[in-house]
Amino acid sequence: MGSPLKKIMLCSSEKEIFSVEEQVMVQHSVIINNMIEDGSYNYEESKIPLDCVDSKTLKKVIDYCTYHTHHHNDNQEDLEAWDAQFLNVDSNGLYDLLMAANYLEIRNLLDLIYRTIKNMIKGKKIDEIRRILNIKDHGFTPEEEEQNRKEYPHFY
Amino acid sequence: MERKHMGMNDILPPELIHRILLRVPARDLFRLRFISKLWHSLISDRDFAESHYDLNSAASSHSHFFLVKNCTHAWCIQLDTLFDVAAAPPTHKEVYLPSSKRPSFPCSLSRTMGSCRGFVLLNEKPDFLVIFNPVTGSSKTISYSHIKVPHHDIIRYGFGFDASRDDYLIVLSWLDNYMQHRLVCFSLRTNSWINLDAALPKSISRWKQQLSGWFSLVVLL
Repeated sequence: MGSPLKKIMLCSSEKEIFSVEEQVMVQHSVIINNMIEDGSYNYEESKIPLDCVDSKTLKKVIDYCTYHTHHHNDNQEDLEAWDAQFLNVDSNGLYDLLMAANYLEIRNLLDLIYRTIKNMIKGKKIDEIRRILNIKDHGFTPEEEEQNRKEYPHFY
Repeated sequence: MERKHMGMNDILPPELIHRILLRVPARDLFRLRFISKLWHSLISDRDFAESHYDLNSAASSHSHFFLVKNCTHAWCIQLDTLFDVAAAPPTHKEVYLPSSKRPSFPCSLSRTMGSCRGFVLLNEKPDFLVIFNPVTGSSKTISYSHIKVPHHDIIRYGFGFDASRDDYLIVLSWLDNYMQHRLVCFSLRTNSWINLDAALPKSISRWKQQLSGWFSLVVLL
């Protein structure tokens, strides 16, 4: 476990550098925890390159980890309210966060996003889900789509 | 591609969409197959059902009582609410039977022959067996018209799961015209009938009743 004052550098896909308390990232990201533990991170020189995470998403991820590090004793309701507000982004923003959380292996953020998307889908009709989840190309031929709509009109 | 034109499938790899779908309740899955071709192939994959069952069976282990109501509908009654006085009335759901989608069939009541890991084995006249998933509404029809049973006997049915081969099996047994014991088995994995060269103990073969629970043991032997 790193000392709370130590900082590490994260580098977004736009080569923007973010300086974060080591403890915050070590507690949440399995990947960064491993890097610090096996000594592959050099405090003098290293920046952790996150080529598939853009600055906007990386900032959100750092916000999430920072908040949950400092507020882990808050009551469950407050944390859930904060999480809901945190994930109040458009669907593509949600997918970027999912990709970043998956890459960095941030398990509680992954669970939160999976749960959120599941709730967006649950009990909804197909046209609505396609709109909410921003599914542009369903890949069915016009004939297949027409056939499905004819066979299961109540699904749409 | 410009970002504003990107959709879910452009951003997320199939592997992450797969993980999302694993968390969706089973009753939504049948419908979700029509969202996109990719979702269809992810959900239809054989291993998907297995992973989904493994991930979700621990979380929601409600036992259900399945009761055929008429030619088109059946009831799924949650067993734990049936015995819980506080939860009156019992939680139940009406589901469409697979036969209701075939209006050309004359109305005949499906008989429930057995159940296994959430699937129900139905017998539809004249000689069809239907494996039905009441949660998703999906079903598979199997014909056994090639089996001729003499009038003096009836068919005994069994439905079980062979974990070693990850296969669902239906076993039928009857006495043929020469009073010889016959045992056949349908494997859902290979989609074919197999003749079993085995005989039931006499005492059991004389019972003219269903032996579904017992047969799941036979299947595993």
